[in-house]
Amino acid sequence: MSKRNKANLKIPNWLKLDNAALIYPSTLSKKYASMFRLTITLNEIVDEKILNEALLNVINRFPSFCYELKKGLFWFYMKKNKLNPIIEEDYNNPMLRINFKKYNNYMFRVRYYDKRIAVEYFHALTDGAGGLKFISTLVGEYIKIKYKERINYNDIVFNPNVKASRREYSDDFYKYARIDSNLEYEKFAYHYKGTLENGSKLNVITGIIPLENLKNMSKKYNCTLTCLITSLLIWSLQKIYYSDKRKYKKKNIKVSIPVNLRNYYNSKTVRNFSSYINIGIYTGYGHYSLEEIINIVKNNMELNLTEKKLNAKFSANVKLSKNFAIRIMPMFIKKHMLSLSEKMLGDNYCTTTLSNLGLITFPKVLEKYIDEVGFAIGKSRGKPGSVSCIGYKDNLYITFTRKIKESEFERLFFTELINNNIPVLIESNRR
Amino acid sequence: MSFCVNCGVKLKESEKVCPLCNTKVINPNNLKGFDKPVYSLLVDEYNKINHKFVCGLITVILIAVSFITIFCNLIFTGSLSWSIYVLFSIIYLDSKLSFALFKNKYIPYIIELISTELLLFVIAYLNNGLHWYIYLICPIIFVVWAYILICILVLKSKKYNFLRRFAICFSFISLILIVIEGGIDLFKYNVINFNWSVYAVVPIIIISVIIYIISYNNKLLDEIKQRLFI
Repeated sequence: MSKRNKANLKIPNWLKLDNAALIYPSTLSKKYASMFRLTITLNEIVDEKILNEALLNVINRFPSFCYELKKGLFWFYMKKNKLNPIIEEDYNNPMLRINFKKYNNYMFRVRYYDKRIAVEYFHALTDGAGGLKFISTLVGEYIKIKYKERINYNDIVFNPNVKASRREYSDDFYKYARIDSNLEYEKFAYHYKGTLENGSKLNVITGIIPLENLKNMSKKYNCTLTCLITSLLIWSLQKIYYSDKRKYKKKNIKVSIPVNLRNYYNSKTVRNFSSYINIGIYTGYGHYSLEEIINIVKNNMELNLTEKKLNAKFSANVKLSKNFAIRIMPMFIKKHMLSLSEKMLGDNYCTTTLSNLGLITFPKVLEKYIDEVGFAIGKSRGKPGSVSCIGYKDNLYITFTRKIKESEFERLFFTELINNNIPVLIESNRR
Repeated sequence: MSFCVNCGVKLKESEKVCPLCNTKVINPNNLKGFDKPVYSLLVDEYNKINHKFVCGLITVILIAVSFITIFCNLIFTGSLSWSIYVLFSIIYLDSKLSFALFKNKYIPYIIELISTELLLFVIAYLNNGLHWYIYLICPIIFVVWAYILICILVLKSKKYNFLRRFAICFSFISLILIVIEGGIDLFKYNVINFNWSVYAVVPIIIISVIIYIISYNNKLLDEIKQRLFI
């Protein structure tokens, strides 16, 4: 059996959860954990032994990943985990609630199937950007071992033999939070309904779209790609809204867009460091055309995606977690309060989520071996589904995950792209 | 490469049905069939609780408690007296595990009835109250049990709207009250003389009828929903 690379073991025995991660352990239940998944598809079948070796080589390069979740008297915290992480075969239904014990108490799991390597993360551990760095480094090491390649490491593929800096596992929310904070009041958003799938099933549909065509479309509307996709999602949701026969339904259609705060601050952390903005339309004012929606989304993004506004938002959360009354509240009460507040407020403010990791550029050597990438968000407690996208080479991979049987939302979105002469290649986990 | 004839999207060679509109993929040019699925066929499952093991463990603990009780009783009094109550209470408690053990939902209800009757029989027998048990308690318990079973059946049936089902269950309470008062009267005076049950039955029947009528009035229901809408 391969031994774990012990180059960087000088890490604290325990760590506090970062500010964004505080909520996730409280929402853990028998059937729910906030999960997300990143995949990299190679051009050859994955070798289990090499993958295991690569994992043991890279795990210590990510000190914050070497912890297990523990329950304290007042807060959850992370305790150093001395066991080795394990790998397993991939499943048809991804992102099922992680059973920590099964994975040697790690808050992530590495899976493989055919040519694909997948890593599924519990959100308390890291966010999409941090997760991407981990899987890229893992795949980089895998390729290095298998093909004896020399890799030019960059900001997403780390050198596993270089010691991790303290900044990589710092909680940057506390570092950058200011005193003045502001949590804006928002109205509840519309949720489309459907027939719930049985227990463990999660439907995944990925659309592979040529980036060039999408860029042309966004140029036509003079907006960014995220703005265009968000607008198309809202436009599709608006169609569902008008075909929804329920008499009493919320009138706001909003898409929640996670924002990578590393783009605004000089942060190197691989722990959570993202915020979000909710953008949408109010159907009470009438039917919106796609152009109108794009205008609204574009203006809202310009207004909300500023360092000042984002800082005010996460500073409010930091302020809340520093509140003395909340801090001294025992865990068994706080857990239920946090869970309830997340259930009532978290998912109710948006109709769906669009998480965009952007265009990924691997070192040239790795690109030879990597065919596809993927990013998907797990089940949410309130919303019926979520959307995520990631770009690689000439394609954009848009993944819809949903816990309901009906795929009307996805159909409306992708057929609108077809109507705009943009080809879409579809794959799914349907058996 | 196959295309969905309904929505126009390209489909990966592994897709047998369009995931967007459920249209079957038929490609006459693709004779080799479908590719390996993009996702594994293995299905991940939630952590399952071993009900049999948990129930067995609880039963073992309860048996141990009963033995300790009997042992203490024998040491202190030299005979089995108060420990019999504890023993049968433990059997009664253990019978509740049937709800976790049986897949057939009606078997636990039958076990529940038998265990309740058994516990009360033992109490009555030990206190020379068999007359009280046979003519009063046994029938009342049976009637209440039957009522609970009927309510479960009625509430489960999705044929009628919830208000109608609720009205039916609620109206049955009046029947229960009449039977209870009749039973008590027969036991005590050998003559049935309805008295207090009438005061309860009349409002119950009126409320049930009102709810039943309202359940047919969609306009009124809509008004109520509108007012209570959050």
